[in-house]
Amino acid sequence: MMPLVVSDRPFRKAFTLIELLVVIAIIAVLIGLLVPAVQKVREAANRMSCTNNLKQLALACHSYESANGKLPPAGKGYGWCSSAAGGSGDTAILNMSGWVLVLAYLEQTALDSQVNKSACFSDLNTGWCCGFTGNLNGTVAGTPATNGALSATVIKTFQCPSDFGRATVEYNSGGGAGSAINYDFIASRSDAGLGSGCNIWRNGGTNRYMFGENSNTRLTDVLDGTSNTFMIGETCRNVWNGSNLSWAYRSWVMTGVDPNGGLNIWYTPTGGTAQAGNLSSWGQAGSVHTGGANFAMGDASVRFVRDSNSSTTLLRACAMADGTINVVD
Amino acid sequence: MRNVSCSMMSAGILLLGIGCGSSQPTIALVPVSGLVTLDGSPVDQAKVTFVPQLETKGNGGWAITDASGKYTIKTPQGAVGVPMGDYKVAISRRLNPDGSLPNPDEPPIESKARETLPLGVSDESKTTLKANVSATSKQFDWPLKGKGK
Repeated sequence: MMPLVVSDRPFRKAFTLIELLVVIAIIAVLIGLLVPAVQKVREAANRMSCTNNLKQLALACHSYESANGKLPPAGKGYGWCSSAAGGSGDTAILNMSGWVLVLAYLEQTALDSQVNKSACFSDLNTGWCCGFTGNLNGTVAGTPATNGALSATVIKTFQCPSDFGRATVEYNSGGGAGSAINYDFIASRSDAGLGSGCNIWRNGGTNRYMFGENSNTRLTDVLDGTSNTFMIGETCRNVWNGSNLSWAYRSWVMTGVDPNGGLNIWYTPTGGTAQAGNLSSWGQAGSVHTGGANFAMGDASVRFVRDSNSSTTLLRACAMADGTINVVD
Repeated sequence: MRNVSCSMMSAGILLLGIGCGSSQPTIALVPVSGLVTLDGSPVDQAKVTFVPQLETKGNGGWAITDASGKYTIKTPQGAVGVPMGDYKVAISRRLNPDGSLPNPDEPPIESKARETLPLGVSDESKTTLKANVSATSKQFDWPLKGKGK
């Protein structure tokens, strides 16, 4: 005789442990499939937004060129480059980035009206080290109080949503903690003037990039073809040796982006592994998008340039009138 | 039932593995090594940088000499060797003001250490040292003479 079930609840069969495990396993597999897919879509969207930012900046430069007959300079009135009195240095030390002049073309009219373009953005007027005098031909224009405070303004167009690096720049002198940016003018690292003269671009000969201190490039000066020459480059907000960049001011090791030397060259600690997203040195081009970085060419087209390009190819794409037509891929 | 869940799990893991690898076109690298001496004695902790010139592919490479002055060049990505071609070679040896070696994990721009070799050797744009790397030419010794310590 079978024992009777003594319960007022109707009989219900429970799931066995194995069944539950199977269900959990299936859910885990589905999540495992879904998460990387979602992450990829997110990164793709971020990359597209990043490309769009560069496009906006490039178009703003073109608008500036239409209005002023020349592209903006990478910066004006550098205070840290070595110049004797009566030498090559600007007489007014501004340490101003050329982006300040472009603000009005980036729908930042309010900010544009607040910054004082004839006062300095930082009061740096000494050289980097070793008794380098700095710009003795110039005097610091005003104080960086107002402009320094404004330099902390975050402008989304200057930031790549894929990069979760530092929010502010590492170096500032007298100014505020400037908002860090991911895009800057293509300018030679020699412009940093670590112990060399001022206005290096102005006295720069034939291998000039499109930008430098007090550069006044017209689009017609880009003899290698605007679609073959880098105008604005992408960089990272984390930089191991030196500093990331600001839209507001220039400083030694904060002079622009120089792709010469390779893209995505990461810092590798002694005995460690390369830290993707942390550029090994200042002024380098790079991005957290795998395999390369975005560049705006002189014609305002934006290209993803692979990090397999050799240094010499990248250098030729930087030089605007060296007579070589190169192909970056 | 257990078999089913196992096979589903493994299928899932397999699927996850697909599409994670990235392949890059590779350039053949020549392993480059050598010896740095200053007035006949080996130089340790000197940074030897190969800067590509003209049609040379790749982004060059660099190495730090060991206690016996020997170096083996690696690319910025950490692979041994550099592509064939013409290079400028810069050899830099930075020392702290007291003559000690700088901490390798301190960013050079923030370090007190300064260059001890002349610009014609140590500066990547001003160096006069040249190397042509080929399958047969991959050993480069640099006997420096100078005022360095």
